[in-house]
Amino acid sequence: MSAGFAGSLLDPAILFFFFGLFAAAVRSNLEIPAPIAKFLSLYLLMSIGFKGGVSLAETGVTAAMGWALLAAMLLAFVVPAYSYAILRRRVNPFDAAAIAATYGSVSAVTFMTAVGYLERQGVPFGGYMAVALVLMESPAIIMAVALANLARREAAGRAAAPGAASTRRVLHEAFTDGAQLLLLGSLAIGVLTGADGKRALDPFTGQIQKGILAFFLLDMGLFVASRARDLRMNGSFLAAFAICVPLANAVLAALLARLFGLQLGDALLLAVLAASASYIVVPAVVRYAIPEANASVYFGMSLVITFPFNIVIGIPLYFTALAAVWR
Amino acid sequence: MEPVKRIDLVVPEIVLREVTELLERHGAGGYTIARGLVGKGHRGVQTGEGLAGEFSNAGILVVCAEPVVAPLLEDLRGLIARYGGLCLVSDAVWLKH
Repeated sequence: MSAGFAGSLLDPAILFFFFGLFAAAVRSNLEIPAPIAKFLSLYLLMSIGFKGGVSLAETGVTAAMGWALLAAMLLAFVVPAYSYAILRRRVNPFDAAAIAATYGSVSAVTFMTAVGYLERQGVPFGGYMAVALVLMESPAIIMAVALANLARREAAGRAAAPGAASTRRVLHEAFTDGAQLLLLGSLAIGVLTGADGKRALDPFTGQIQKGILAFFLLDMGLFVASRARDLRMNGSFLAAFAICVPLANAVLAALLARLFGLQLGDALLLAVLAASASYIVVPAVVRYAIPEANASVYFGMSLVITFPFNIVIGIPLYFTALAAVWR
Repeated sequence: MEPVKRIDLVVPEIVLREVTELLERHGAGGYTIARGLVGKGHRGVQTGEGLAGEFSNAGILVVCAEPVVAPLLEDLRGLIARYGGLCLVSDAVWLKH
């Protein structure tokens, strides 16, 4: 087991991310067409869900799974609540709610990068962590929409809340957004088909996954560089928030993992889920439900700061810290 | 040839369903939709990224009779104020076939 920052940076997927940043910095015309980028995202969600489902079918329901999912649910409610409380001191309630949703929800690609990291280190983890990923997507979004509705009501002097999004539609989208549903459906198919399903879909959801992840991260590198202006727009408070809150969330997750007796691999994945910020499901729902929020702020913080921080520094940092405690 | 009103709309794709429901409710008849539009407006740049069209606009071309226009615009105004967008109304002639 040889982790270390240099080793993690020499992962081809991470290097392709840097290559994307470089290509954008030198103003290359390298571009991944949008429909292909969307396909890559959808493929990764399907693959994560399916592999998690297959692992779940192999291990079955265990006490460790119960504790891991309980920890995930606690984090899914605590993180957006305390994030909103901090943010309200400095930003308007709508931006605060949208950012709280972003940081309370999770990033599937960050999770997948962490899974790849554990596989390279030979550290075991439970397939049920993909269930934790699914569970942690929605609660923050629902809380944020409720907080935004409350803010509208307060602004309207406790009268009717003009502009409140349809609760039914928000709930519907939070649970059936395409990305979320694909993840859930793939997980269910993985559970139902188990090892036979894994063989049937190989190499589509197996061997080629790492190559697709590398290609996706190339696109993310190009994309992050193109959104770099958001760094300047966000200001120092929000830039600091986008680094410090993920670190605090990882510590919180590590404490829960220790308290609940999770194994090292599960602890890392829980920390990464807690530290990650959504840029797929949250914008899809929040753009409709909280249109007053500035999308370039919450989307930019998540994508331009927290995502690169987690995949380049966060994952090896969390692993090194956790491994020191767990041994 | 028949004189008609032409309404050009650009709205975020996320509210396309609401807009088409409004058009149907007001009896605006037919419309043509172009998805995946990108550009810049008073809410900044719409770059087209996102899995659910959350950063894309849709263009809607509507042709309708004059009496439909005023009540339809009244309902569209609130939607555009909330989500952003653009609405242009002009006179046109329809080539009857």
